[in-house]
This record gives sequence, C-alpha cells and structure tokens, in this order.
Amino acid sequence: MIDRRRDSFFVVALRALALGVVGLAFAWRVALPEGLAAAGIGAALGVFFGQRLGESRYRTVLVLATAALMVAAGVTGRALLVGSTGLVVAFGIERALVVADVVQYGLGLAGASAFLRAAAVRVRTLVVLEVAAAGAALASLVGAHRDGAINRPMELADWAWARGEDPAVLLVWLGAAATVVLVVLLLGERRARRAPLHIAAVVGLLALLLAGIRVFGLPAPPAAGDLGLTGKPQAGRPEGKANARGQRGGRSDQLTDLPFRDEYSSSGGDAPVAVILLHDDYSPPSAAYYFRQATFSQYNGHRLVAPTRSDVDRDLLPSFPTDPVTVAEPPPSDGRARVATTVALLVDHLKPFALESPLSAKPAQNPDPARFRRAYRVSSQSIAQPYEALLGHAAGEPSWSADVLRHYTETPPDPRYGALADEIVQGLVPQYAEDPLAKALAIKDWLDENGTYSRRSRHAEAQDPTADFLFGDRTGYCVHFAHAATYLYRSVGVPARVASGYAVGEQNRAGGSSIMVRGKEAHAWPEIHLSGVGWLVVDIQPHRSLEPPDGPPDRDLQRTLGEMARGQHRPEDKRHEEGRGRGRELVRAASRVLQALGRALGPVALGVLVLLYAIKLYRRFLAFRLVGPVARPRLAYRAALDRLSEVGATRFRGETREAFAARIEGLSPTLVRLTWAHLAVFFGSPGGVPERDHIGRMPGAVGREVRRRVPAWRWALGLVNPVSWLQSR
Amino acid sequence: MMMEQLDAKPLNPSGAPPSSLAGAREVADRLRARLAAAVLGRDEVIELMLVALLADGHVLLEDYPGSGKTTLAKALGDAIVDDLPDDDIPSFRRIQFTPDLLPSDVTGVSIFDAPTSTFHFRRGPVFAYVLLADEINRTSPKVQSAMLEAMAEKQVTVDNVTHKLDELFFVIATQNPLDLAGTYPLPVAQLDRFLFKLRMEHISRDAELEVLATWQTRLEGPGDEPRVTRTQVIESRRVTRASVVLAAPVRECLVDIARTLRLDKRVLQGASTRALVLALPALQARAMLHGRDFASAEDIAVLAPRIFGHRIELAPGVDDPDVVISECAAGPIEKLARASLRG
Repeated sequence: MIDRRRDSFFVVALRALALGVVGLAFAWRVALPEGLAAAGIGAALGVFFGQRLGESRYRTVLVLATAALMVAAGVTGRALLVGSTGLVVAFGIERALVVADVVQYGLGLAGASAFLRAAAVRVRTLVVLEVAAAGAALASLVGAHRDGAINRPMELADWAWARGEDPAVLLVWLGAAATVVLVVLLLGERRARRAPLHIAAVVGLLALLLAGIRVFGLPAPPAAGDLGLTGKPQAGRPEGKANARGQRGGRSDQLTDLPFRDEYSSSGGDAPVAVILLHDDYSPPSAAYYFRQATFSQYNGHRLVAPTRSDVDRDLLPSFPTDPVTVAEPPPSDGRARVATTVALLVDHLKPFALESPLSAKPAQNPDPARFRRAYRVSSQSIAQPYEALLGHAAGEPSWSADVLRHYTETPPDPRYGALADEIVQGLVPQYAEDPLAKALAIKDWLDENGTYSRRSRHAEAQDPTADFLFGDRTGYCVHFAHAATYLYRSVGVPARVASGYAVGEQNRAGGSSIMVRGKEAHAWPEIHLSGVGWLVVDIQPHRSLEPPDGPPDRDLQRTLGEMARGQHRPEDKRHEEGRGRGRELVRAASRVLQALGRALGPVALGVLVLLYAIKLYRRFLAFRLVGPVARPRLAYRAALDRLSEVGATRFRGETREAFAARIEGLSPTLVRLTWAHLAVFFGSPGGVPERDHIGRMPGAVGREVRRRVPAWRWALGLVNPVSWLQSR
Repeated sequence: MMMEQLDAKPLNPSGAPPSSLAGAREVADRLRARLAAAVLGRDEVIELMLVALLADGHVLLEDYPGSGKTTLAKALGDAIVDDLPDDDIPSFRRIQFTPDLLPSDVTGVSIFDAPTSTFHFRRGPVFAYVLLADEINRTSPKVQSAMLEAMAEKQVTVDNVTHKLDELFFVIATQNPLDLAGTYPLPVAQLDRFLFKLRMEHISRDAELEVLATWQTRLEGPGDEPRVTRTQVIESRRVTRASVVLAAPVRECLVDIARTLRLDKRVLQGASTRALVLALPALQARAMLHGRDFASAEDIAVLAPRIFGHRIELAPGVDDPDVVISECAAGPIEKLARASLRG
C-alpha cells in the first residue's frame, strides 16, 4: 500500500469549513458583524495555513510558535489600533473599532486554528484539541438551554417561536449539525473518496435519530430531587444501614417511604418537570401551592411509610386517569374553593399529583406529544380561608374508628417527643390551649424558630433519624422537618401525616395562570386532619437556612411552557410578519422547503438503508446465481469480496488481485482459486475457466472460512453493516 | 496453484521438444530445480533469470563479489545439454572483462591458415549458449559495444563476414557497484539491451547457514537433477510466445504505466517503446512459469520495476527507482483491477 503523507484537499477543505463554523460560534456573542465575518473566514483560512505549516519541514516548535505569534499579533493588533490616537483620528472611532475587531478576530482565530491544525498534523492524537475547541465553542453558544430552559438561547428560541416552531427541535438539529462538524474534524481519512461516505453514514444515523424523536418524543429534562417522585434512580449517598433494615426490600419506585439522606442533592433542579394550568383564580392561604402525590402515615417502628391498610389516606388520586376518576374520600366543601387545574407532565412520574385536595380527575389531550409525557385535568377543593378562620375545629373525624385514629396518632415510643410537644403547647393562651390547630401552629412556630434548613446533615445513620434531628442539632431538610412536625403533632393528639409532592411558592406564579414546577421544588410536608376541614398543610418554614436562596423561576419559560401546555403557542413576535417584499416571501418559501426536507430526511434515510441492504443481499446471494457461465466467476468473486470487506479484509490501492488473495490466504484459502477463475475469464484464458462447476459454491465457502477465523462480534458487525459492499474493490 | 489445468506430461528424457505450455513449464521447472540446488536462497533471482531466458532477453546482475553469480551462470550452462554437437558451440563460456581487452577477444578473430592460405575465423567466447560477462563495466566502451551488438543482433561481424550466434544465446552480465575507479559505466542507452537489471542482495541468515552446511555436496554438482536440451529451451520460448494470451487490458496497463512514468516529476527520461515491446514476452514467460495461459496484472506488478528500473533516468535527489515505479504503476494496476470487476 502506498501511504500518501498529505491529507487530500477535500478533507482539508471540509475541516476548514468546520472550523470556520466554530470560529463564527466563538465570536458570535462578542464581535461586530464585520469581526464575525473575519472570524469565520480567518478560522477557515487558518486551517489551510496550519495544514501547510504542519506538512512543512520546519521544526514543530517553530511551527507552533508561528501560529501562536499570529494569535498574539491579533490581540495586540487590536490594542495598537484602538490605542493609537492617530489611527482613530484618521478612521473615525467607529471604523477604527471595526478594523480592530476584524484584526483581532480574523488574525487571532486564524492563528488559533492554524495552531490546532498544525499540532494535529504533527501529532495525530492532538486532533482532540481541535475537537475539544470546536465542542467548547459550540456548547458555549447553546449552553444556556440546559435544565430544560427551552426558551434559551434567546437568539435561537425567539427565532423559532416566531415561526411557530418548538426551539427544542431546533436545538436538537443544531446538536446534530454540531456532531457532523465534530466528526468532520475527527476525520482521519487521508483519502478523499472515503470521507463523504463516512460523513454520509453519520448524517444518515443522525437522521434516523431525529426521526426517532418524532416517534418517542424529545429527551426529558433531568429529574432532580431525592424524594423519589419520578421513580428515577436517586442521586446522593445511599441510606444508612439503620434505615435500610426497616424496609422490606423496599424498591424506590414504589413510593412506599421517604428516605432520609445525609446529602440531599438538587442538582439540575432548575429543569421544569411539569406545568400546571390554573383554570380558576386561586391564592392559597399558606402562600404556596401544594401538589400532593403521596402520603406517609403509617408508623412502622422506625419511621413513617405509605399505609398498608386500605381505609386510610383515601383522599389521593389512585392512578393516572385514563377515564374520569373520583377520589374515594373527598374533602369537605366548607371553607374550601373549587379549583380546576390541568397538569402537563414534562417528566414521567410514578403517580399523579394534584393541587390539594383533589376531588376528581380526567385525562386531557396532550398538547404536544413530543414534549409532554401526559396531561390530565384535576378538579380540586382547596383551602380558601386564612388559617385563623379554621380555628375551633376538632381534631380528627368523628366517623373514624379508634383504629384509624390510632393509625394517625401513633408516635415513636421515645418519651422526648411528648415532653417537647407538651412544653411547646404550654405557652398557648388558655383560650386556644385545647385547639388542635393552635397547638399545631405553636409547634410549627417553634420548629420555624429553632430549626435550620440544610441539605447536608448527619442523621441518616441513627436508629431514629427524626429523634437524632429533633433532639440534636435540628439541622436537616424537608424530610426531617416533616417527620419531626408530624410526630410532635401526633404527640399532642392531632392526627397528622407526611405528604410528598411539589410545593411552589405563590410568588413564583407571578400573576400568570400557569405554574412551572421545577425539580427542586419537590417537597415533603406535614399535614393535620381537622374535622370539617379535612387534611390541612401545616408546613414548617425554618427561618435559618444554610443553603443559598433559590432564584426565581424563568418567567419567560414559565409563560412559554404554559402556552404550550394550553396548546396555543402562537408566534409572539409580529415584527417578522411585518417584513415586506420578496425577501420575506423567499425566506418563508425556503423555510417551508427546509421543513419539508427535514420531515423527509427520516423516511429517506430509512429508504436508503433498505436499499443498501437490498443491494448487499442481492450481491451476496443472487447476482452470481442468475447469470450465465461467462459472468458467473466475476459475480461470484464479487460476492466473496463483499464477505471479506465486511470483516475489513479489503484490497489496498494498487494491489493486484492475486497479491490480495495471497495476502489473505490465511483468512480465506478459497479466494485464491476464485481469483484465478475470475482472472482467467477476464484475461481471456484459452484454456477456459478452471473449476467451472464449483464456482457457484465458492462465495459461500469464503463466507464460512471468514466466519470461522474472525471473532464473532467482528463477523456480526460486518453482517449488519449496510455499506460494507461499497468497500469491496 | 491450479496446476491441475496444465496436465503435466512426463517429459521425454531423450529430449523431445515441448509442444504445449505444460511441456514448457516442465522445462522451466527442471531448470529451476537445478539452479536452486546450485545456488541457495536466490529463488527470486532464479525466477527472473528463467523469465529472461524464456523471453529471449539478457540479464545484468549488479552484486558484490562472491554472491554466487558465477555459480548461477555455470549451473544454467550446465543444465542445458548441447543436443547439436556438430555446431561446436559450448553450453557455457565466461569472459572476464578488463580494461585492455580487445573486441576480437570477445567476438573472435580471423587468422591466416598457412596450409590452405586462407583466413579462417576463430570463434570468440560469445559463441556459447550461456555467456557470463563478468564485470562488464571494467572494459573500454569499444569492447562493450561489440559485446552489446552481439547481444542485440545475435551475430558478430568480423572482417565484413557476419557470423550468426546460436539462437539460444543468453548473456548474464555483471557489474560491481563497489569499485568505481577505472570503470566505464554503461550508459542508459546501452543498459536498454538488458531485459532485467537485478540487484542481488545478501541472502537470508538461514540460506547462508544452509550454504555453509551443504558446500561439500554441492561441489559435486546438482548431478541427478534432470537436465534439458537446447532445443527444448528454444521450443519452450516458441510455445510460450504463441500460447500465452496478452489481453488488451494488460497491454493498456503497461502503456499507462510507461506514460505515467514519463509524466512523473521524479523521472527525467522515461521508458522507451522498445522497453514495452520487450516486456511482453517477459510477461508471457512469467505467466507460463506460474502455470497460467494468460498474462495477468500480477506479472506486470512484479516485472515492471525490473523492466523499467534501469531504463529510466531519475531526477537528482531521487534514489530508489523501485519506489517511483511502484507508485506510478499503482494507478494503472488499480484501474485494471477495477475494470475486471465491471465485466
């Protein structure tokens, strides 16, 4: 084989194109339009220059220093141009700035790309530097869309919205394009003819992937929170042994208990997991919307778990509604307001959640199946009175059996709970000394005052983590507070339980009618039951916190998602519509064509794939059987070559067929005979074709020999490769 | 490979001339066996030597003293039985070229025969089947040209009388690359008379050990290996030329290689058309040696560097003609290989 030292011009040009795009991405946010153009052109030209430099005979140090000098010249050139008064006077400030930008980005990026290319030419492995630089530039361009912020980056998202498109789709396309760019950079091919083939293969795979998105939906944002609401594997440290003992092989996807964790992680918590549409105006007296998903009321000797009996906690939605469902034990209507909501889930959840307290639910039309996992409409009966107005209700429910009451008031045997609770309620004025809500609020106030919120704590290892928390440093997160409060409520005879779900502060709604639920808003809270009121959230809000305060949600994203959930996303920016003339028409026509192309790409890729397989099978099994004796040796030989190229045994350029056959005789002895027969026909041997009768069986024999001699995975990989036959030569 | 297709008839020991390719191959195999027994580790050179013999060409060996060239040439002469004793031409002759050699020392000379008062031509050493021309670059150009004329024309002219050499006449010339002082290197135009210029590299360690182990037995000569007759060799040449097919794509490939060579920047002077004509019987001979009745791309790939190597002049700074030729041949050979799949 002859190894040509130089990369073909085509491959270099492709690289130049790719790095030109990267240069544009790099300068996108900072450069003037002229500087931007200079950046793109400079980066592309730098590739050619770097290639020449790398292939030159100069020392590597010299080569790299030359490129580095270009970068330095670009940077200092700007300082000189802007700094020297003479030039600014001569050009005028504006033009001097443009020139400075062009010099800085054009020369600087040309130097940078020349540096990368030359380094990669000299040391083949350093091509990763190039790829890393390209990846970083492209990622910085679109990185803002992390955590499900599909409205970012604004330049892209607004453009997409204006055309009524989901920007996430655009981002996915952008990612696909970036992949192609990176693959082009990685391309190790020195022969120009293979490069398009491999790029086409990558493009085809991406097209299949994108077609898959149409079928399976967009990738969901990462679900955060360790409360196990979504059933995703939970981050953070595994639980302490003491707690693990209390479970009966509890699987995290069953929602049977709330784990105590020493490290409660909420990374990626900014990603939205659901959108709630409020169809009635409702402002909760607790200043937060509580979306209840599960409850934990049964004390199992260690902690609270989901009840195993069926006559308690019957106020939850039993499952995702496929038909209208009603709650078994609806809340009383006194003091509560009817609130209709629609929940659109962006992430799969184990169980439905609903604004407290749900009455009934029914499925709703999924507004955008590519984005939302499912949607359902809930009718809730939510507390509409301030807490003071709820004073004077008795604890529990008269209809409850003693058994149920005991279920809701059972506490750990530790006497300290009762002592502490009694001490706290002692401070109540006599007027409210016996009021259950007043007692609960007193306990809440005490915990608010004395507890410290922290996602890091050291209680999970203890026998009773709640006691360790409550009678220790009182530092923990919602699960600790919810358990402590519930035990204290129960200690003073108030039926209580822990509920989990999402709690969204009212201020986050910001006056709109949609609420974006983020992963970090997963929450566990205590609830008490009052006669005539039902389950009432009496949540703890510790005044001290070791965590940095949470930022407000992205209002723009909230509104956008709300509109999407309503299925009424419309072009917002009418300015695009106001554009006049043929330019606008052209752009619209072009975008229609592009959209049609995009839609066609998946099926076309599939069609091409099927065609490739059909050709492969035809050449492999049929072609040589369908022809007469003259063409048979040639087609049989080709079929054998196909089988060999599947496992990577191909003829080098300039290698004769005999030499190839001799080279791989160890892999396939039969090929030597088949080659002879093929050449005898081609070169017009007067002696005729040897082994005329066996030729039809030889491709199969070659296949068997190959299969016996190469590893199974190699063979299988070759078998499924649709383009292997293109490499037969 | 595929020997079955040529039915190997036993060769008539009395020396009936071969009438088929199989017979020609049998002749070649006998020669090969005798040469291989005489010189160890030189299979490639032996094969090329046989190709040259059967293609009616001559061979120039460039090598170090003591690399076995004389042994090889002698063994070849030995292997050929003179079945025409009347013509008085021996199987093997050797000329050691020196600066003071005269053309008549090579071709022969007319001497006055006193009893009959006539000039009588006394044949020089060129009258032989196999001639070893040792260190041909050490003699004067005058002698060289006489020698080369004999090689080209297969005749010598002395005193205006033309004397025909034997039809088999096969020259193995050597030149020593080490001593350059006092030599007259052959110009490219003269080198053109040789079909191949072969460089004999040092043989492998195993072969060298084998040489030392068997030197005594080999002193007695190959002995029992069967020999061939002059007529058989000549007849093999004829049969090969007549029966091995040279397909049009093969000729195209050869021409394309020559044209690529002429266009290559590293080549000052490309191969001549005569070189291409001379290449054809060589391709046929190699195909026959490998049991084929058709010349193939493999023959071109192997023989092209040998045929063109000494016929081209390289630009200053380019050392290895083999690399240049292999690179220039790759394109046309690839084209030929692809054409064969297209059908």
